[in-house]
Amino acid sequence: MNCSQVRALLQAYVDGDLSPLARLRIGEHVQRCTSCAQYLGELEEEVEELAHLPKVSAGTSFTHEVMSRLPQATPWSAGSQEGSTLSSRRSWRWPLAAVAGVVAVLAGTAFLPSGPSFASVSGEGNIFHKQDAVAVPANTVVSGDLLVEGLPVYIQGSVRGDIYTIGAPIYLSPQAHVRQIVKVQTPIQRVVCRLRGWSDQGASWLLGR
Amino acid sequence: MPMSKYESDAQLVKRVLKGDQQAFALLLERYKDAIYNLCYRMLGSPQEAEDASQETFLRLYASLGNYDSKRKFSTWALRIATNYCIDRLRRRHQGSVSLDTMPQDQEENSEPLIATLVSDELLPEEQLLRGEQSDEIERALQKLSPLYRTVLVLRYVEELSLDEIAEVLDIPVATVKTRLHRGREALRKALQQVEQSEHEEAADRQRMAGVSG
Ligand SMILES: [Zn+2]
Repeated sequence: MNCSQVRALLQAYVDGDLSPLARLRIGEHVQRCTSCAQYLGELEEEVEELAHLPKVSAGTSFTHEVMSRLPQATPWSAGSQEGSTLSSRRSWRWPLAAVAGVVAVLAGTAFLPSGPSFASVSGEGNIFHKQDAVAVPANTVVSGDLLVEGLPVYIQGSVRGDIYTIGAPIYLSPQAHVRQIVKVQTPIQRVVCRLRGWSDQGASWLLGR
Repeated sequence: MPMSKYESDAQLVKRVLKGDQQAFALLLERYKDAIYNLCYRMLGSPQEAEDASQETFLRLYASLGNYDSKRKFSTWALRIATNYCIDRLRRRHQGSVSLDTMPQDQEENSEPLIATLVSDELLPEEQLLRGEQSDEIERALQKLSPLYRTVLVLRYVEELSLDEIAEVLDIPVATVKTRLHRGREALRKALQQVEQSEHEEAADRQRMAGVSG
């Protein structure tokens, strides 16, 4: 076998997808040809790296979240009218009880309006709030809830409470620990403002709308 | 107690179909990480992976009536997830890439090896969270076109056999081999690209590091 014949088969060699005889031949060639050996080394390294990409896990609340979004009627039971009406409103809404909880928690937090976007946190823990992003750095623990509007949120540390976001994309590193992410709708925002004694006008200013 | 004994996937599916929704939670627990890993490596961001994994299970639940108990449940679940991720990647492309660089047909030869726009869109926002652990191979993977990324992820992240990949993608094993081969070739090129732009990106990372302290 010459080099180009060997090169053509090296991928299959790495995949373990060759006859024993062909494997043997290639093994022999690689023993004495440094350039093919180097090529093989690169291929194997690439495969190693792919295989050792860190495994990530779905959050602990994942199962709960999916279960809460399931249609209540079985969608597969043929001819069930109930099934079709229920599945049409499958999109997830946070239960009312939880919304009441948000308002109560927020009432006691430092609320830092800064133009049309803001971030606030309850309990202990430092977050970084810049003009274009909010971050919970690695090894940082926020003991309470985090509420962010209109800014991307980057989380590398832990948030023990819940995270409420409004129009804010949220990025979790594989190391991040969060309990729950709740995407809040604008009306809830207004409720929060009302509770804090702000007029609708103030609320609109805060919301930038 | 019947609850304490191990139930096969097929048994759990049967329970769900009879109206026992809680049995679905057990299936979720079994496969959520496999699905989440697939979505994460396919889509490249935790946020999208979370959305896509949830959507996968909702679709799976909705089509549970069509599940063929002779097939492996895991393969079937991965298939739903894979199709959904590919759809999502293609939709992401449609907004930003002209049709001639991103063909709609799945012809082996017309599939571009590297779809650079995917990673270019993600990188600025992804910099921060990836930070120090930012890995060349991860970024290179995100540069691959959906078809090639899919086989590499199924093979090396999900650790499926060639036969299992063929079943997930519903293509012949020979096609799996071809895609795997070309996929790795594309990955090599993508890795070279990543290395080339490393300098520039390192500067970006330094700038962004100010946010995380
Ligand atoms: Zn040689």
